[in-house]
Amino acid sequence: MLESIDAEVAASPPFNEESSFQKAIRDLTFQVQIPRNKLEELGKSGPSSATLTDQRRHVRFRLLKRCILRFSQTFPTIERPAQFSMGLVTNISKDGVGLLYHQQIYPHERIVVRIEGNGTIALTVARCRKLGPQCYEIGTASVRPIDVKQFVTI
Amino acid sequence: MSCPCFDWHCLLGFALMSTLTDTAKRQKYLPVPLVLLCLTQELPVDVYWCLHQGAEPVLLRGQNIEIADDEFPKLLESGVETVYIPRDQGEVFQKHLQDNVRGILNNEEIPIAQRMSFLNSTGRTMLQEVFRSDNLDKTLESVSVLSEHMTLLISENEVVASELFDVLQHDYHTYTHSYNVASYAMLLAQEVGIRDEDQLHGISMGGLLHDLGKLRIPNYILTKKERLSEAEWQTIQRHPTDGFIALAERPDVTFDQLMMVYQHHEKLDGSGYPVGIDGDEIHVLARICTVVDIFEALTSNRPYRNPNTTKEALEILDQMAPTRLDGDMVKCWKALMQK
Repeated sequence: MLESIDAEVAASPPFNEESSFQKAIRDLTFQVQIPRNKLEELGKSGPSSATLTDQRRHVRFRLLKRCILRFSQTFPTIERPAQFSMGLVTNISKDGVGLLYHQQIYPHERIVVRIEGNGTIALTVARCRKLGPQCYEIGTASVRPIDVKQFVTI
Repeated sequence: MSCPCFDWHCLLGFALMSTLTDTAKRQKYLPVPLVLLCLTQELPVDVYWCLHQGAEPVLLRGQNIEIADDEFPKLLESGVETVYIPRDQGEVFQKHLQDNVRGILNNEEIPIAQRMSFLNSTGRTMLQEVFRSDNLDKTLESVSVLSEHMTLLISENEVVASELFDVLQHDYHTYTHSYNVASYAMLLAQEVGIRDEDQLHGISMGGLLHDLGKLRIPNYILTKKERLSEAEWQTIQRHPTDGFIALAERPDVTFDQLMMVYQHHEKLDGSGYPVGIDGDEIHVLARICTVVDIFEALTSNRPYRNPNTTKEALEILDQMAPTRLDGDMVKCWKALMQK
């Protein structure tokens, strides 16, 4: 399963020189196990469809990029070590980012993600849903508005 | 004498007036179970009662007037279950209760069933007030005090689950449900081998707080008799998350308690909410909470259905184990209820 997703990620524009992002990501392991039924959806591009009960103010655009994730110590009784890990960004909007991660993250936890080829975004977790073993879909809200054009071609 | 203008409008007018009286009464007076006053002597508050249903409360005893030992028990025997205390004296009353609870709970001359009943009434009254206040500091303070009393009573006495079931109220109010779930969770935790008083105190607190997020759900959804719409169902499903968010930043709420709040609707096969985690990912105390939460919900009166009997509720739990509920926990709970 992972091989297919790696192929998707590898298909993104190549870098001419090894960026600091790639240097940092080299030591990290991609631990997310993406369920087979999710692969087709991840392969799509363009705006993401919303459901009736969604309360979204801005369009979400599909984006498939690896990211480096770091937790901020948010809650006194939920320990988060200050280390980097890898996740997979699946969509982005002016308000936030959707990503897949190998562990559950609790609502209102604060994280910082650095998206491959782009900058760093401070996020607060809004929701988390398990999709399968070692695969959690994390919905986040951005602390500041995101300039989506930096990440996708609109 | 029959009303000369008796028609549906008249009846509706009467019902409306009665509702208005009830609302005004609720705003002005704190309803208190009479059984709560039977074990205390002098009261630092005025006590009111209603001569008939829907009537304006009238003064029964002024504050600090000595009350004869048999006065309230006799009143209770005559069918009066609720008396009223002016809301502006509510805090004095709470303090009076808290000062007297320990003495009453420790008094071995009082049968255990009566002490359980007393603590049930005290606890529900405390929870009703603090949940209504929407003040988290006050809620946690009261919940901690109440948990201490519950731990004292349950850990130092042979409490039989079926006897506890008999003295508890079984209405749909969140404060009643929370009290019952906390009591059951302590019993089940003891049965699975948790004996440490601090741990039991923590479990009791977790049980009392497990539905804190429900206080944000509009009452019309909680009491709706018809099928819930998708949006209403989503509102219901938010309550573990809302409870978690309210408590997660508090250093005085432990990780175990947070998980009781956040994970008590998760199921072992991953079919629960809010995350859909499965198996061992679900905290052991959350699994305890889930079993007793479902049992309590099934055996309580709800506006949309009649309560299940204990036997029916245990059968439903049996059907849910071991795929959705922890089989060992269900077995333990059944054994406790059938003692």
